[in-house]
Amino acid sequence: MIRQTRSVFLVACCSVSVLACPPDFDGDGVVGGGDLGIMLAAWGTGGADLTGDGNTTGVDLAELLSIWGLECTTTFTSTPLAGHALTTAPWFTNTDVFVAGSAMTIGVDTTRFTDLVGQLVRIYLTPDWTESEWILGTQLVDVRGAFQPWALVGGGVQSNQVQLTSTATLATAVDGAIGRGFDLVIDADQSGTLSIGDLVDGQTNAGMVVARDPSVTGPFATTTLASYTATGVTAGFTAARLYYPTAIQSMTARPLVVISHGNGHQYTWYDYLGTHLASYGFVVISHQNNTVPGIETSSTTTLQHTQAIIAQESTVAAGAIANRIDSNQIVWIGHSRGGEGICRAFDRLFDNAFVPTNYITSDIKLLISIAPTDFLGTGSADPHATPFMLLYGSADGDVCGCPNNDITDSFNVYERASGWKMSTYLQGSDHNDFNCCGFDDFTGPAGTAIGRTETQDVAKVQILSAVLFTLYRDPAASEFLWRQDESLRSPLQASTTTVVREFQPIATQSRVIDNFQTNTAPTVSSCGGAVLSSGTALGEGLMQDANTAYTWIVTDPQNGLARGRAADTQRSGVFEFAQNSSIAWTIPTALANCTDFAFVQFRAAQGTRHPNTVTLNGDLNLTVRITDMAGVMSDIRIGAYGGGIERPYQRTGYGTGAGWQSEMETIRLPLADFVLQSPTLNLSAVQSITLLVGGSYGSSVGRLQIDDIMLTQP
Amino acid sequence: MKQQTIPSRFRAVRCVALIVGALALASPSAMAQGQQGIPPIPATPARVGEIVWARPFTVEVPWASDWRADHPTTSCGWIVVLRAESGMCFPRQVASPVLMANDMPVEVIEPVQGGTLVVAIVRADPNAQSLPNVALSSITLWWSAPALPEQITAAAAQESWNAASQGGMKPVDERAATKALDAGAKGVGPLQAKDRQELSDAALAARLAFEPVVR
Repeated sequence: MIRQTRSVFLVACCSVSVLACPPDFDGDGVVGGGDLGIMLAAWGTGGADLTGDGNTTGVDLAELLSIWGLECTTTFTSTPLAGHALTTAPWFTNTDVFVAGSAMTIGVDTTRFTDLVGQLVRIYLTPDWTESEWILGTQLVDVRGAFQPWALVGGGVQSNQVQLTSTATLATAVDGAIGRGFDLVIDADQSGTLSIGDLVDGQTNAGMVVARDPSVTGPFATTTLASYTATGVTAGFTAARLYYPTAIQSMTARPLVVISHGNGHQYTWYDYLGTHLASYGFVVISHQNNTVPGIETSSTTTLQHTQAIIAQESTVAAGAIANRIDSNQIVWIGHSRGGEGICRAFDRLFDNAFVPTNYITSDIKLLISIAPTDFLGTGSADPHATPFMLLYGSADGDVCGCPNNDITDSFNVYERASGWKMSTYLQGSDHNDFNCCGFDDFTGPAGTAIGRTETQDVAKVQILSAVLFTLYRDPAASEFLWRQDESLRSPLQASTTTVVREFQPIATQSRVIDNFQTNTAPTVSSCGGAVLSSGTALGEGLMQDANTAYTWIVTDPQNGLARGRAADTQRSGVFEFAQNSSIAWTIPTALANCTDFAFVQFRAAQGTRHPNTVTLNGDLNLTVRITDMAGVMSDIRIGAYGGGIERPYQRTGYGTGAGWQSEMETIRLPLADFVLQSPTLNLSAVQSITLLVGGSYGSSVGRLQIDDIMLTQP
Repeated sequence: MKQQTIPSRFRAVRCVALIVGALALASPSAMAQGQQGIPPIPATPARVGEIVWARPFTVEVPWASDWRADHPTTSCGWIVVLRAESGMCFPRQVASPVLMANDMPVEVIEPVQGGTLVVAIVRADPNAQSLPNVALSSITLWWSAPALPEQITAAAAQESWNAASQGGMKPVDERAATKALDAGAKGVGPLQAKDRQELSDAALAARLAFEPVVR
């Protein structure tokens, strides 16, 4: 925060940095008048932020004054330590989140910290200290009651990984967060104090987070009001159910979550979501939804009920939630027609076609659509730049994702979203698995149904994570959204359940290399660099299946991409391989410095029913290479992180063969891991990013639809 | 661009289609991954089934109906209870057949999964007593092609109604109408509702009388 350039350096390339003394802005070794002057000059900006809130205010001033006169002699090394082992190179990756009860590991790359080879050190797991607290807190205290000794050896991180002991007793969060943060220290000289040569993970944010299982009920007891009557709502649709933390009057005002059901569904069918979110501290209503006439009427009831509960908070439930709704933080969740309805409702706010009396457009912080229809199409069923999440089950027999009917293609809506967006695709879930009581519409291969309990457990994890990430940037929630499901999931989730995640940040937190929207020649990327294919040919096109079947034919290269109507413009690339091949995206010189970013990511799907996909018959693995301008290369196979690009769900129908719609999956690789793999790789001068495919680099055959190759911040 | 369309056919053709569909569903391959739980959409236009209950109503506060794009003002009509084949009234997410009264979509009250009863509000123009200015037996209740009622314009409704009536669609049988009105209004007369909410409550009560278990 304070040393902005240093923090960025840390994020980007995993190298060490030395923290001297954050409030010692002028670097004279003492916290004094010169530092105060710098702080005052930076007042109201992030330039002298000590607390990590991104602003320089009185709180920071108080921090500075509290250590007035401090001689800044303590130095230590800040570096990521927490993470988990990989079965192949780079052998270890730094991640922050561990589900309580699971193995928690740290790793040290002794090829960089050569002084530690042969040393006995102490591992301290400390509270999540702020940057300033690290300056004052030189006495190390382990929250487990005692430090953990560890002998480091040569051989790099592959030989220096250790599981933290006594973690079973670590308490998880007591508030509505998923996780509780801790910091990690390698006390190199075993002094019990922070001193020169020690390693610290957690200089700014928490070094690691111990997360509760997000599928399990949260910390707050809840109360449900079975039904109340909303005023100012379309006649016949005035009933709603209310869920809230029982002790809400002892809490600050809580965000509001509104659930809008689908056609033929009931407002009483979402108790699993209402009680779950209330147990994490949210006020939730589930309301009658006017879905039979259509989407416009559905959107109206969503808009009206939101307005009504805010207006009635003092009287509903005998005043139990009086003055406890934070109407500046509203989340809309909709299912099927209701899922499209909430997007239409937001579009009406966006267009000023509906003007609420007690909330405004910017109060809608997140839209979550579960298997939405797409009746209204481009320009109407549109989340715009509001954060958006889509949940969808591959065995949906109602909003089926069928190639002959755009109305059933939920991902049309997802592709239109232009802000933060995330999707969760559950193989084997059907439409009514997302509520309690709808009919069984499962449509898929026998034996692949995962059922209502499993579906709803996954939905609880993803929805809660999306809400906490969007409202609070909860770091634990973030990882549940972007890490591959094979790498982070609820411990209760069956090992056989397949969940495919997409996660895409906003433009200001990413640098697009190629999203196929501009420079539409396959030889030029969106960022203007050359795209060089070898052994394969990259094609581009609209994300639209061109016919009414999922049968593979060569004239429909985007087969399976039921992600747009005729008026939609989202595009992606496509290529196939049956030998070693590569596609290299050259980075223009002006964009070669990638140290502002933490990850390289892209999303990809196997081409459904394509002969190569049929031959592969499993997850697709490939290698990502980063090459710098000096020719240094670093290769990582995506399978190292526990999963590849998922095999399409083997649903039949709409032509010959097996495989349903394209399952785009985000693959996100830490840039730090490329440096770990090749320590001389220079991320400030990146020449190209290459996908290497074929037997030498992963799967021997395959066909991929690919999109949104980008660099992203955490 | 790939909107599902259902060809317009009449009852005989529909029966053939249903038989063919049933045979297809019975084949092993279709059974493995057929769309379970959702009955196929029957061919339209089609007549409604039996009308079992009807009660005229008037409301003090008219409402603008959301069930046609031009939002016609509604102040009187009938609450009706009909029997229908489940495919017609099944509450699917995609477009479903629209129950029409001549050229006006009928407001269906909370369709129930698997139910064969339709409880609905049929709009009429008012007479001097604020009651329907025509007899129930003069109204043709019929199923039109799948659509969202809110998107049906008055012109489109008129056009499809003209086609349906020229194709032989007939009004409610007079004896059936009389019997239904006897069941619904005999001894109690028309419903004098305060507003649309009170009307909805009455319609839901009517459904519960026929189908006590709400699924």
